[in-house]
Amino acid sequence: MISVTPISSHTENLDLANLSADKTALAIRDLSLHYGEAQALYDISMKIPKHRVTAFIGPSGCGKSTLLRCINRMNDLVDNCRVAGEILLSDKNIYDKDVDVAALRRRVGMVFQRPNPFPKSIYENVVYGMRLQGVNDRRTLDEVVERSLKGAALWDEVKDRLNESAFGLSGGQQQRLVIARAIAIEPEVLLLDEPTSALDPISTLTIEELITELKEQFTVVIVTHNMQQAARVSDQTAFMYMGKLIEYADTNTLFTTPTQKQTEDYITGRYG
Amino acid sequence: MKHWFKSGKPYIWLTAGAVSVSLIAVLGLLALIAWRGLSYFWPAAIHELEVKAHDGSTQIIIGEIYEREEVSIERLQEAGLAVSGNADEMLERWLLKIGNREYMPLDFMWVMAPQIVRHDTPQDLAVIERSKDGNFYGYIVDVLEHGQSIVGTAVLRDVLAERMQRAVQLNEQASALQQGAIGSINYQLNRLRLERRGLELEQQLTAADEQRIQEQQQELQQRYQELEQKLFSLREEANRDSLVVRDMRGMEVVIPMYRVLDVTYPNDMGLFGKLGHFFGQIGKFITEDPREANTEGGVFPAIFGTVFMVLLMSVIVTPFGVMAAIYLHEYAGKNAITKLIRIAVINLAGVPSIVYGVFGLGFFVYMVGGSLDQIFYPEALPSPTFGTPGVMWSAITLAILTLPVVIVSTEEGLSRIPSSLREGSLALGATKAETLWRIILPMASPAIMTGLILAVARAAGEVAPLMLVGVVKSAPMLPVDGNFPYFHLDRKFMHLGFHIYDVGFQSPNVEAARPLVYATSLLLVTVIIGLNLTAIGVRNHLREKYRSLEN
Amino acid sequence: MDKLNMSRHISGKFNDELEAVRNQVLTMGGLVEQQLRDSLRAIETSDHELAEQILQRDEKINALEMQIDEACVQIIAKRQPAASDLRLIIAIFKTISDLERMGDEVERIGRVALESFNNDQQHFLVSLENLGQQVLVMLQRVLDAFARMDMNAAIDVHQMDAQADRQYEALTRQLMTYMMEDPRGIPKVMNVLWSARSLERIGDRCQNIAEYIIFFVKGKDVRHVSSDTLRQTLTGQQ
Repeated sequence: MISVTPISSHTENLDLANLSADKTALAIRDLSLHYGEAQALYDISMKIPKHRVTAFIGPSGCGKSTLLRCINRMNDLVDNCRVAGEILLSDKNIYDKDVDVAALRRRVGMVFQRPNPFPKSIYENVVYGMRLQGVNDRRTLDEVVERSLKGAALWDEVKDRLNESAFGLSGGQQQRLVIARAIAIEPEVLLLDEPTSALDPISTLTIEELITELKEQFTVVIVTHNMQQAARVSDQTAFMYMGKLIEYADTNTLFTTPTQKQTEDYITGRYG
Repeated sequence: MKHWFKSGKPYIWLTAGAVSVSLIAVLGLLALIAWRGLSYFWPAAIHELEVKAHDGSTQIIIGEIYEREEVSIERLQEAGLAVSGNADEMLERWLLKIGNREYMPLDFMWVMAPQIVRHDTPQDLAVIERSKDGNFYGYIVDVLEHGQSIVGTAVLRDVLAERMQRAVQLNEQASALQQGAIGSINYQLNRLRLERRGLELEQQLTAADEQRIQEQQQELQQRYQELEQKLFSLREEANRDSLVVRDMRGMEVVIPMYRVLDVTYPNDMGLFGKLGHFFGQIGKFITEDPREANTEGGVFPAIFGTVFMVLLMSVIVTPFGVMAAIYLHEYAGKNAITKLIRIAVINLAGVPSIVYGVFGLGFFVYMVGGSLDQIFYPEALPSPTFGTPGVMWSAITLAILTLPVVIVSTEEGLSRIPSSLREGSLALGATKAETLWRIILPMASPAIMTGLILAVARAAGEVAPLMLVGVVKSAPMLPVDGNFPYFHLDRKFMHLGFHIYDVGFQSPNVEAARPLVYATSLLLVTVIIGLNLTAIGVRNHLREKYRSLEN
Repeated sequence: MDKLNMSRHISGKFNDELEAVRNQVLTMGGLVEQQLRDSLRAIETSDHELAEQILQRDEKINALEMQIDEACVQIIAKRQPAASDLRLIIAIFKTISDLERMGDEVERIGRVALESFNNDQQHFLVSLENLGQQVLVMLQRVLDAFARMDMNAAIDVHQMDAQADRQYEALTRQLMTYMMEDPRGIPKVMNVLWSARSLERIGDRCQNIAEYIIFFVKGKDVRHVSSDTLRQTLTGQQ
C-alpha cells in the first residue's frame, strides 16, 4: 500500500466520544441550564480536546453562546440562572462551591462579539489582567505586552503607539487587542463568542488566521454564526439546536456528511 | 393651506417658535440684569439744576439723574403738590440722587421738569465716595492739613489726589492690622480662654497650666496693646487732612480725609476715563467688603461664601451620591424595595427647599450640632460652636437637597455603560469591585460630572434654606483665614443670593440700593455660570476621554 | 424525492439553480442515451446517415458539459454548498465528465458504423449488439437512479457492470477467433473490437456514476471497493 499524506490542513480526526483524559481540556457532563422557568440547555455532554479549535454552531437562540458562557461562569451574572451538571476543567468541576470564579476566569479567557477595549491606552488594556493580579513591575509588563501583542498579530501595527487610546484602533485591530488582552494572562482555554460578527471580511480573515495560530498554545472554543468560518477554523464542530447538542463531530465530517438530518438541514440552509 | 399643514412645516415653526421664546426670555433676562447691573458702575453725569418753585424761590440741585417719568397732573395734585394745569395733562419729572446724606433729609429728590430754569453739567463737580454716609456731591474748594489750607499755588486736584492716596494707604494699613495681627491675637486669646475652660471642665486644671495660660494671655495682651497703639497712631495720621467741599446749598462742608475713598469728576471724563473708572468700580465691587449695611462697597465675602459653600457641598454630595447610585444600580436586588427607594430618591428632588432648611436647622444644627458641641466643645458652652447655623450645615443641607440629582444622573451614567465592558473586565478575572473601580467609575465620570453640574446650579441659586442654616447679613470673618486650622466650618457666611434679598428688601434705603441688587444678581448669575462652565469643561474633557463604544 | 430535499432551501434561488443543473444533467444523460441507442441502430442497419448525425450531435453533449460545469462553478462560488448540496455538486461535476466521455465513446462507435462491412463481416456486428443492449440498459438505469437519487438502483447498476465485463471478454475472444480465421479481415475486426472496448468503457462509466450516486446519498466513497463488500457495507449500515 502506498501511504498518502492528507492534503487537508486539519489535524487528524479524534475519537471524540472516548477522548483520553490527557487530551481533554474540558469535559461537560449532563449540563442543563434554566433561566427562571425556561430551560436553555438540555443535558449536554461533550469533551473538548486540548490544543484544538472547537466550534459551536447553530441557529440563533440555540444555546451555543449560553453553553460557551457556562465554561467561564459568565452566566453567574444573570439573575435567576440555574445550572445543573458539571464542567470539568483539569478534573475539577468548575461549578463546585469552593471554586474562585475570578481565578477560574483567569484560566478560561473570553473574547466577546463586539470589540470591547477599555477606555485606556493600548498598553494598559493589555496589562489590565496582570495589574489585577498585582503585577506592576514595568519590565515584566513590557514583556507581557510585547508577547501578547505579537501573539495576537498586532504588535507590528501598534508598537509605536502603545500609549495611545485603544479607541483609535480599527474594529479588527480592537478585536485583536481584546484577544491580546485575554492571552496576556495566559489562560488554558480561550472562549471566543462570535469574535468576528462585528468585523469586515478582511479583519475576519485576520482573526481566523490568528485563531489557527492560537491553538498551538491554547484550547480554543469558538461560537460562530458563520458556518463557513466554523468550517475554516475549527477542528471539531458541535451543532446545537433548541438547547440540545445535536451532533458533535470532526469538522471535516460534519460539513461533508453530517449524520443528523437537523444538522444537514442547518448547514445546507434548509428549513429546519 | 391644507397642503401647507400636510407638509409638516407648521410643526417646524411651532417647535422653532418655542425655542425662540425660551431663548428670548433667557437673553432678555440676562440683558436686563446686565444693563441695570453694569450701569451701576458707569460714572453718570452730575447735573446742576436751578429749579424755580411755585412761590418764586429758586433752588440749586446737584445730583445724578436717576429716573425720568411722565406723571399726570391729577396724580401730583392728589399727592398734595401744588401744580397747576389740566388734570389730564402729563408732566415730566426727574428723580435725582443728591447724596449728602448727613445734610439732606433724603438721598433722592423729585424735580418737575417744567420748573427747571437752568440745566448744567459743570466739569468741576465732584463725586466724593466716602466710607460712611454715601456719596457727596459738590465743588471741592480746598484741602486742609491740621485745619490749614495747603493748596496754595499748586493745582487743587493734584494735591487732593496725593493726600487722598496717603489717606487710603493709611486706612488700608489700619484695616490690615486690625484684621490680620489683631484678629489673630483675638483668636488666640479666645482659644486660650477655651483651653482653660476645657481643662477646668475636666477638672485637670493644674496650677502649672493656669500659670502657663496666664503668661501666654499676658503676653498676647501686651502685644495687643502695642498693636492697638500702632492702630491708633495710624488713625491719627489719617485724620490729619481734610477736604472742604461746597455743596448744593452753597455751604462749605469739611469732610475728614480718612473717610474719603475716592474723588471723581464724571463730567470731566472722556470715554476712556469713564471706561477706566467703570472697570475700576467693577473691580472694587468684586474685591471689597460691603459698607454701610451692605448698601455700599463690594461683595467679596458674599462671592467667597457662595463659592466656598458650593464647593464644600460638592465635596460632600459627590461621594455620597455616587456611592448611593452604585449601590442602587450595581448591588441592590432588582425588586420592589429598590424601586421604592429609587422613587423616594427622585421625589426628594421635589421637596420645597425651605423644608430642607427647616430639616437642616432642626436636625443638623440643633441635634447633631448640639451633640457635637457637648461632646467636643463643652468648654465653649453656652455659646455654641457647631450648634448654631454655619457654613458646614449649609453645605450639608444643600448636599441633601441636591443628592437626588447626583444619584439619578450617576445611575443614568452607570446604566449607559455597555455591559460588554463589564463582561470584558470580569472575563479577565476581575471581581465586581475591581471592575467598578477600574472601568465603570471612570467611564461614568462624565455622568457624575453632569449630576454635579446640575447640583451646583441648583445649590448656588438656593437661598431659602440657607437663611435657616448659616447665611447672615454680614459675617465678620471669612470661613477660611490664616488662623489654624484655616478652615472654620462652624462660621456663618455671606451668600450672594441672600445679599440680593438683604440689599433689595431689608436695607434702610431701598431705592438707593436697587442698582446694587441688579449688580449683585448679575454677579450671582456670573458666578453660577462660571462654576457650571468649569464643571462642563471637566465633563467634556472626560467625555472625550471615554468616548467609546456607544457608536 | 424526499432524500433530495431539493426544494426546502431557504433561498428559493438556490433551489432553482440546483434544480436547473440537475435537469440539465438529466437532459445530457438523455442525449447520451439517445446517441448510444442510435449508434447501436446505425451499426445494426449500417445506416450511414444516422452515423453522421451521431457525430454531429456529440458537439451538443460537449457544449452541455461546459454549460453545466460553469453553472456548478457558479453555485460553489456563490452559495458555498455544504453537506448534501456539496456532495450533489461534486457528483454532478463528475457525472457530467463521465457522460461527456461516454459521448466520445459513442462517437467512436458511430465512426465504426460509417465503415462499410460486407455480408461476411456483418456477423461481427451482431455480436456487438448484445453487449450494446446490456450497456444501454445500464445507462438507462443509472440515469434513472440519478434522477431519483436511488441508492439501491445505483448498487444494482454497479453490479451489472461485472456482467457487461464478462460479455466483453467473451466478445473479445470471439473476435480473436475471427482474426485468426481470416487475417485479411483484421482491420475490420479491430474496428469492431474498438467499438466493443468503447461499450465496455461506457459500462465502466455507468458504474462510476452509480458510485457518485452512492457518494451523494451516503457520503461514502465506494470507488475501488469490490461489489460484495460494497453491498455489505451499505446495506449493513442501512
